[in-house]
Amino acid sequence: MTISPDRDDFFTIFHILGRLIIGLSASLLLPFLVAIFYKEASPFFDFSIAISVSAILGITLVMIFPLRKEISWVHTFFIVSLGWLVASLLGAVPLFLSGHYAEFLDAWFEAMSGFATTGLTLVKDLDHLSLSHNMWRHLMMFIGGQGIILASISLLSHAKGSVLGLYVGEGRTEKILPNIIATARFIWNVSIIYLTLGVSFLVIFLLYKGMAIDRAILHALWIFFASFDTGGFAPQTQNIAYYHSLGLEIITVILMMLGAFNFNLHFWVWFKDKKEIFKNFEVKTFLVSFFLLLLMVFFSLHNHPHFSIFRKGFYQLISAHTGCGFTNLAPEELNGMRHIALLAIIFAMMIGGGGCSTTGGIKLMRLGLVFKSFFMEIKRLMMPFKAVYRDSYHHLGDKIINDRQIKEIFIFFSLFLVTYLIGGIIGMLLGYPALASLFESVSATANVGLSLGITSPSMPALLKIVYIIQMWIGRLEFLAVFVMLGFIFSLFKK
Amino acid sequence: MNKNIIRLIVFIVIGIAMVFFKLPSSFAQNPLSLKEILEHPQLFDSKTVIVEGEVIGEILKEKGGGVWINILDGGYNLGVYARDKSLLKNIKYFGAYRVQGDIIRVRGVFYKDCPVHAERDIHLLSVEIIKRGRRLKDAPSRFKKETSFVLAIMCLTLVIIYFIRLRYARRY
Repeated sequence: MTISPDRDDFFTIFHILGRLIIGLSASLLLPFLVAIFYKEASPFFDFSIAISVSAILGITLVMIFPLRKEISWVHTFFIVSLGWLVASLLGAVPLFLSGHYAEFLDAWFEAMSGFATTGLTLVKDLDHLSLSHNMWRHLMMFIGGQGIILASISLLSHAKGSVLGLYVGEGRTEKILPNIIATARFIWNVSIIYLTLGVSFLVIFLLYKGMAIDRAILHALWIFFASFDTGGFAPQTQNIAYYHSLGLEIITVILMMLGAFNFNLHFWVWFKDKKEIFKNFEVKTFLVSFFLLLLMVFFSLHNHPHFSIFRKGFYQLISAHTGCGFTNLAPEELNGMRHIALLAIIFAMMIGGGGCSTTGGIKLMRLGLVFKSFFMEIKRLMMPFKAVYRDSYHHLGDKIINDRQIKEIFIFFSLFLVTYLIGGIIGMLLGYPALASLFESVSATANVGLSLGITSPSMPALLKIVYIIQMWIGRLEFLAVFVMLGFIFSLFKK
Repeated sequence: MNKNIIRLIVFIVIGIAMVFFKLPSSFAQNPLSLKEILEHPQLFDSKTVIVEGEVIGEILKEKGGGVWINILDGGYNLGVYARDKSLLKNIKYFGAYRVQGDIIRVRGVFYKDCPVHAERDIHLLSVEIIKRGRRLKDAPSRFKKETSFVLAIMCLTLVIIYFIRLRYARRY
């Protein structure tokens, strides 16, 4: 027997969606203020229109659909799935009005890419985009990276029992503190501390590079948003290559790594046991997978100087593995890499970072447990028939691997692989080369943002829609979207 | 007659040979597009090239006294490294929002994998401004202004209605 939502449930869903939209409208005030500060006339009206449209829609939903039920498990999947769709559609409004996007679909793609912290972009002439629009592009990544719903959870004091569904719906699998609202607030607090430190370092560095103080502050903020939230947008077309700086690349590597590690691990290292970082299963999986893939990249770049191997190979690989998508190479350069290096980058993108982090992809824990279960099976077959065998791993304490956990992991693992493949096949059907199609599909689903050049305003509309869907379901890790579709299907069965 | 034909063939062969001998050492005759260079970097590696493009952003310093500028040409960007900052002193406008940057003609050595910086760049030999940039007008359309005004009024009205309803709901 499955639960089927009724009329009152939809009232609750639309009411909460209305509140989320009002929150989105409030977040548009920051780029609006930037437009006022820098006297950017046209962007001022773009953001004024976007704020009004969002506020009108949000208030209308709240007024028409009063809250008739407490938020429950049923509502959360709808709220999360629809929340991300609506946020990206409304977030696209000021982008489209900027005139830097060929059509609304491109602006929607950009907004979804921003919220999902992907970093694939369809903007035209980014170097002449206004500061306020750039602020919005990067702010979307910060909001999305932290979790649109997570942001709301930390503000919702009355939504008690059901917030776990909202939290899980955004692809976060672990609680840090016993209370979800406290967990959400902890994630925000950690992010604010890193934001202060990261932006300060970056400002000093950019001032040293000769940037004017206001540009240094804005660029520092945007680079922080894009690296810590593993987004990958940059304010200039050349991405990180614009700055021509090894030092800046090293700072972004540190920020990407901080964003890609489990927030639980941050908590543990800060407050409980610093040695956890050396014992943690996710960290070990990361080190093994990263260095194996690095070998593949080194093999393909072995005739380059060491400095070049770091900047060309290491940087793209760490950016892919952390799901950030920053690059210091032009698409033609990335395309010119040997296939073995591109395969390594594809594998790194597929895996992603830690659970309960800002990254997408299969995630380190799942990959590690897939391999562990494989070796467990071999060991089991080598034991006497009646022997009972259990294995464990260390993640914030020793944990025994159980069959249910393995089943869940394999479901997610397969879902990711199938989605990567479907996107790749659609790309091939539309006439793109196989490797590039797979690269782009993985980049979209795992919310990375590296591109071999397929992603451009001239790509077919169908592929843009496919990538939007991939970014959306990849960011929410399928569950929320599939459960929502299941509930909708149950309505027709009634 | 035969001699003339032979002479003509010899001239053509010498001419073609000169072109081929000239190609590997330098492309510094006519401006190339960044597209040509970036899509076929192996053809131009370590050669002197001339490119034209809009200067973007700002001048960025490097350790050791050198500086960088970035140029944009037909949707392609490339970094230009200058050992001497004074070479760039005449650049006034840098491309940004509402600013059309100076269009410059750069003569320099292109590196596919620069041995110093480990990136794709041009090491500047000389620069010439071929078109001065300018500040552009930022004039929003009338439609945008009117839509914004109407929506703002609608939004404010709704906010007022919402708060009035909220107040009454609390009271009664």
